[in-house]
Amino acid sequence: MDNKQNDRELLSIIQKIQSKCKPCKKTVQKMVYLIEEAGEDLGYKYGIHFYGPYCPDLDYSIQKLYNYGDLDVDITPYGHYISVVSQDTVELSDVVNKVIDNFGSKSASDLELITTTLYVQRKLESATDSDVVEGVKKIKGSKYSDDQIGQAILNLKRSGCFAN
Amino acid sequence: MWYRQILRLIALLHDVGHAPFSHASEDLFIDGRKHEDYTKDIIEKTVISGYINEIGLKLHQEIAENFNISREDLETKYNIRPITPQLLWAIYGEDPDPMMNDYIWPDFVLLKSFMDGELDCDKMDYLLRDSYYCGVSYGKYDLDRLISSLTVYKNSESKILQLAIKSGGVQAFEEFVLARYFMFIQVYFHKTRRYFDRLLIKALREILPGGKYPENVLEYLKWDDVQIIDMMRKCEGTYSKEYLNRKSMICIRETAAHAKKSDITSWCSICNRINMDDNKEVVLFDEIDKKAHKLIPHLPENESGVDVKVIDRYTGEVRSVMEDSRILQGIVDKIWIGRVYTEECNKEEVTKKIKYIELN
Repeated sequence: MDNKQNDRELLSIIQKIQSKCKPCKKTVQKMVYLIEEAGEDLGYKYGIHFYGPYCPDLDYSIQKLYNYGDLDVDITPYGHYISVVSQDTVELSDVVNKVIDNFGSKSASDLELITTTLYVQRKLESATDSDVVEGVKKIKGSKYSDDQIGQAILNLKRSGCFAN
Repeated sequence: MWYRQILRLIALLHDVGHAPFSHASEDLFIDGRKHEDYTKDIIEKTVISGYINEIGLKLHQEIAENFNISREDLETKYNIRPITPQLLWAIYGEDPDPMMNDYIWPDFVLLKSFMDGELDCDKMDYLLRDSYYCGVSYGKYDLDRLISSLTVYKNSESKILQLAIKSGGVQAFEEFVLARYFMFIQVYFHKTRRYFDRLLIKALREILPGGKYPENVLEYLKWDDVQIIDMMRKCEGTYSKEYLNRKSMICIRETAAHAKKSDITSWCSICNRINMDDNKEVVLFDEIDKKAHKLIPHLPENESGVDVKVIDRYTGEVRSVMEDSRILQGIVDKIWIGRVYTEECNKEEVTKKIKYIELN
């Protein structure tokens, strides 16, 4: 996929997320991670950071789209809120729509937990739920409780977006 | 003791994969290889590998003796293993993998950040060294003050461990970032230096077999600066001769260091117009696009991104250095420089042409 087409898809994804919540950069980072993991190849490679999976190239893309005037970024101490200005959007695939419908209204903190959980599941092959809980705690410390992590596992399962 | 040795080894080894003349000739790696790929091969497949294993084993024995515990306990109870090339690579070379058994999170993330953050010791080293060897002062800064200001931002609840600075060190950090900014504009992006990077690549294509560095690490290691200069002397190629004789095209136009959008647009149209004519051989365009620093202004709490935390000396409050520093806020715009070069003999003709294009 060429860059332009990729950018258009990213803009469309952000626009769709906007119908669910007021997205900040973090929301977009985590949603795009979920979308990539659900099987839509946008070409963003993720690593794990202190606040969950993160892709520097995606941050760069957002900055670039802001420079071109396709995006608006409202910088506040609570988040860098993003809104789409460009009308140049594309039809989203079923995979993308399904992910956004399932997770688009979650808070950034919830998404941090959900994406970290998915990251752990992807890293540990054929892991039991309790392995996953331990894995998330290895990364997140006591930031999230066992119950919250269990809920995240359930959310991921119920969404039906991710092949196990 | 163990972390210190790991850090020392990473620091010593992180750049061993560089090609002769460092970054300049990276275009000549075989399809998409990076200098880091050679680093991995060097630490895993050459004599260096044996040295690392030896150092790792010796230290492991020493620690076990010092603390009077068995080496097995050291591994299983404390997760302290003998340092190996693979462990060093897992810490430095790849994205952190907290799910890997040997990977200690977040400690290893902190160790890596000594090498690749905005506060890394690689920058601290090369700025001073390059300033010294180039005979300039731009890259100098107060190293001692900066180091004594270093601290660690620790949030045990969410397992965060990051290099940070004490609030008294903000100015030392500003000076450090500015030193890099000045070095980039004045030295690394200097018009003649940039030109010789281009010429070097052309000359290397004349002498390297197939115009590329060999993929095999042992073959690759035979190519060092001395070998290349020697081959250039023996080579009959035009570019090698020009390089050795320091024959440079001259720069006849350049934009400001932070070219505005409108400048970039008009610069691009000049490039296009000249390229349409038959002047390709005698005119060379160079574009530089680089951030002065990667710090993100007003990075919110709980958001990933490049940031350096400042720890308030009285309250212990944690904030982003971008909040404290007006100077760093002032250089978030990227550096963008465009240049036009030509041969001395074509100077007037090309200058005229550019003026003509600008007027129309």
